[in-house]
Amino acid sequence: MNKYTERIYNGIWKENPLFVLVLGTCPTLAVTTSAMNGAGMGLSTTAVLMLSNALIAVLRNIIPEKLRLPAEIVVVASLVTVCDMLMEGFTPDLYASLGIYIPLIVVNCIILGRAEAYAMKNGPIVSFFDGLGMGLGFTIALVLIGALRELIGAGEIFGFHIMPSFYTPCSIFILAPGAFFVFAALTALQNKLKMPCATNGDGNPEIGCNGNCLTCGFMKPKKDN
Amino acid sequence: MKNSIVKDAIVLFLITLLSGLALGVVHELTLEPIAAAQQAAANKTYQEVFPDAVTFETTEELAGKVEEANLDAVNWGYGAVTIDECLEAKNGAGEVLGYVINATSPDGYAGDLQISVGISKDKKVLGLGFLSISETPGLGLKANEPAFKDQFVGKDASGDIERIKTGTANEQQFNALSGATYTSTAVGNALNASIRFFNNISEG
Repeated sequence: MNKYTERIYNGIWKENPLFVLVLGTCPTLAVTTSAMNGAGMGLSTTAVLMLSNALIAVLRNIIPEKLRLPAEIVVVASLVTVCDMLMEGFTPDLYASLGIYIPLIVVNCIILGRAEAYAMKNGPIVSFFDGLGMGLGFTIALVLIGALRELIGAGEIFGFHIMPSFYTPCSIFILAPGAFFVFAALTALQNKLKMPCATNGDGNPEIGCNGNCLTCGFMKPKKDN
Repeated sequence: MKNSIVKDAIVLFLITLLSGLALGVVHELTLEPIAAAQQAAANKTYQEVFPDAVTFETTEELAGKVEEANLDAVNWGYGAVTIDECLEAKNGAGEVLGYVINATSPDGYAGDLQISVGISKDKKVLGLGFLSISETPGLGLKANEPAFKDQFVGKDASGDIERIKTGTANEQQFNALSGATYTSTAVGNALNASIRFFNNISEG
């Protein structure tokens, strides 16, 4: 496996942003009302994540150490707005289905998390692939949660009716509480199986922040000269 | 130390300046395509709600009436509804067949819900479509499916169309969406405000 495919595998499985790093949970809870919505949000995020990672990696030697966050936010927010305008102008059909998710991406901490944790320390091309892997991992996680909620809450997956006709959909699963139920159940399962996860206290210290803010890069700025 | 602050500030300034410039350029580039795309999307909806018409145009007179109506719309009893636009629906020969009215009701479960209604001169609803809807998928969003939307075709637009929960709807009634009371109410409010506006302009 070369370093590019390794990044993709890493994002999808080893460090899945949602299940392992536990990043981006707000948009996850909000948009996974159906599998289709999950896919839309996931793919929009992937596109922005690849570009923002590559751009931050290009700028990594120019961005001052102390001003990493403001500089990254400016780059990410501008990029998202540019994507939003380009999509609305030139691909109206795509914009009609994905457009509502674009502004939400700015506040998705996966983007900033990967810029900070990866793109600031690596080259543009490998960072681009890191963005692709993380984005796909996020997409898969969102589709999984969306499909479960849609199945229980509406008896459908991707809009196709699959549950037998005697099944009465349990609407609470496509409302806000359902997001918490499904996400909690999946995380509980992950804990039970002792799978790696950043929020499992004594888990692997190499994953994310190990649920411990003290080891975070933000808390230990380098001494300035 | 002082130098590094100045240097950092200059770098951050340059990054924001370049981002700002990039945004400005893209904004200029996309201004026209975005306006064209929005117009095309709106026209598609107008065509759906008024299949017989070919062109949809607003006039200054209608725009004035829309403004006038909005001053009074809160007293109509349909919530905080607003009439957004009214267009003349014309056939190929330029004859006015009726009107397309866009109205927004803020009473949806997930906020604003904007509909577009086509009403013919002989006071029949020709179709109802959504210009903007962000209701819950599987519940309120089902309003945007033909099973709900198509029931409005042929309704009597001489007065309010009442929302009913059970039974078969007659010409002055429509069936609410099961489990989506907010959405149904918002659709009813926007629809009835449109009908009332239509009757205002066709009478006077």
